[in-house]
Amino acid sequence: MINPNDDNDLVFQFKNDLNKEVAFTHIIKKYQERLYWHIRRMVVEHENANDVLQNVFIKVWKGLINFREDSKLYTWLYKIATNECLTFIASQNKRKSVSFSDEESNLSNKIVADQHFDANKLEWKLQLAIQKLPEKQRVVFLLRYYDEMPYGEMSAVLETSEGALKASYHHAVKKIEDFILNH
Amino acid sequence: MNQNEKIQEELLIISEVVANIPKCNVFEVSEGYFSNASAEILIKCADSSVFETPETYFEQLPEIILDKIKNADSAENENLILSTQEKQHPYTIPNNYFETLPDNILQAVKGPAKVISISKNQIWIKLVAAVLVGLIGFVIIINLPKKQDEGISAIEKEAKKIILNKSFESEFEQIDEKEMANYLEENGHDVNAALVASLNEDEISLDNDELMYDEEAVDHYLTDLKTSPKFN
Repeated sequence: MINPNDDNDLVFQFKNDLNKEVAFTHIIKKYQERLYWHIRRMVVEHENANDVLQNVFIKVWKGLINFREDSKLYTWLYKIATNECLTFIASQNKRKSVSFSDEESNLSNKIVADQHFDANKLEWKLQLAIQKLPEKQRVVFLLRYYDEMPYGEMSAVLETSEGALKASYHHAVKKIEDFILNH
Repeated sequence: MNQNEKIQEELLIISEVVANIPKCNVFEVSEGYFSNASAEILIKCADSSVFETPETYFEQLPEIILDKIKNADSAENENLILSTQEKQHPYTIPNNYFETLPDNILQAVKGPAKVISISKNQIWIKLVAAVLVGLIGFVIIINLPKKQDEGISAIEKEAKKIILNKSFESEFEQIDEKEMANYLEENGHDVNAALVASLNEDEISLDNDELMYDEEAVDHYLTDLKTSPKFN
């Protein structure tokens, strides 16, 4: 009998081919929303977020058998999701031959194009400000601000020291503040 | 304080403006998206594994290929790789290197020309002078402290004077050759042996063969060599 609340049990069931698909389905259902919103805030459009999310879980399906369990399952999933987002953004930019500054405006345009976009609302301004951040700072801010991830776990996801992450978060917040005050 | 409160407090310290922004999701998703997502993903996972290879396929592949190579005709396979390679030196050498090499080696072997005195007399004189000075000096050193009060013999006085004045060359010229020859006949072992040892092949001429064949001199010299602390 699988315990869907126990990540270790889910991984065990998957690895030992006991109830592989059932275990995997539980993993998807447990983490899909969290991962989706993390991806969506990075890539903005739903279609792109959906593609990236599916790619993430396909990678989990193939890679879970070799998961060393050095970190939590949730940390490992976030790591894959973040890498997939960055890879996706890079491939989009390559395809369109856009520079870094164009990439920001591209994503900002997508935010503005959203049917519910309201420039007067602070929460929308926040989204625009987030897209102005450098990629790494963007990820740090999103993980801390929205996912409330402790720095220790973030360090495992991004393979960066906690000190560097704290500094990165501080800079990100200051840049967002500056954008909101000036726009 | 829970995680949410900690993060909020941290944000407040950094920026009140950002801390006061309402935290909400501005993006939307279609209804039922998450309900169907897992099924769609499972289908895609199944599709992605249409073309599969055994788990350790790529790990074992190099070994399999190597075994096949070894099991095939060994002679052919040994030369398989070598025969496809052109025998080329990857290294370069200066122009005319081998043409000039013999001359360069000869020059290195010969070394710079040395000016060697070929005067036999000069060799004799220098060696004899060195031995005499050494002997006289030795005698003086041994006897000086004891006989200081008693007085030094005439010969020793003279020797001392020569050493102090560094005038043995001028004194030497005044010595009669016959007297010198007589002295050497009586005390010549060490001088002969030293001469033999000092001569190299170029300097040894037919005239000096008698030095080489003076067995007593050679033996005496070799004995000294063995007992010398320098060679032990």
